[in-house]
Amino acid sequence: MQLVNTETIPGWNITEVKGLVSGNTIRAKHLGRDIGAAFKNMAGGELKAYTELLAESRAEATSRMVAEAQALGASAIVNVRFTTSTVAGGAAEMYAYGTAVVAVPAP
Amino acid sequence: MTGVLIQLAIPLVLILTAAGGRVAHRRRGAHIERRRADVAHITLSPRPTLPGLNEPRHGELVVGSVVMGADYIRQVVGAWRNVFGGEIRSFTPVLDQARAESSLRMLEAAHAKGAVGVVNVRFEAVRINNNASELLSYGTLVY
Repeated sequence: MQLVNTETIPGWNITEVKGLVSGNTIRAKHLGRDIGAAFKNMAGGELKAYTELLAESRAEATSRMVAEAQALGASAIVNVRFTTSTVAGGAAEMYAYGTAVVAVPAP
Repeated sequence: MTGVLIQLAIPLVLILTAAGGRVAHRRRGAHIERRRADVAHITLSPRPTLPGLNEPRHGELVVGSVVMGADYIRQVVGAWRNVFGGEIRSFTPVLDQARAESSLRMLEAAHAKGAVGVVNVRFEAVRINNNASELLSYGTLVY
């Protein structure tokens, strides 16, 4: 499965559009991490626990999107976009979406 | 006496952590500058194509992200700014550095895959809690 955030894939022709596919996940951090992050917050800097958590959940949302595209018989997803929003106190939603297409190597 | 000590200890701890935060901020900046040299040959573009670089190759996304917070003193200054409005100068360098870090991580991932450019680059910032934001950079690799 090829994923790009451009409208086309260089060297490939898009022969069929299967439609919009998306994947999401909502994750919360566990309390221990939250308290640790609150302390870290006083000194500023990177909150590694959150960086990892968000990266993990983005990968999860992406793989759900890919699964949906595979179910449609697509071979690539173009125009992939990521959005994140905080939906509740300690929880964040990751949403990935794109257009599932069938792409074949250009002659 | 103990009461006075406790009252003094709390602001002291806050000021010390914040001062440590300042030092760490400068250190991170220097670290970013050093790593930048390794990926200087990779072209970044917000446009979908890079003329002359789009060799036919498997399409791939590349992502870099970082969650960054501001230290306590910056938060206090920022809260004060909120009363009168205007640019919150204490936050500007924090987000600036965080975005540099996130785009650098994206570039390092691109470098690891042997790419010569990242096109259609998008930057996003999302607030995670009162004081932390995630800076996300992503794009498509070209070879």
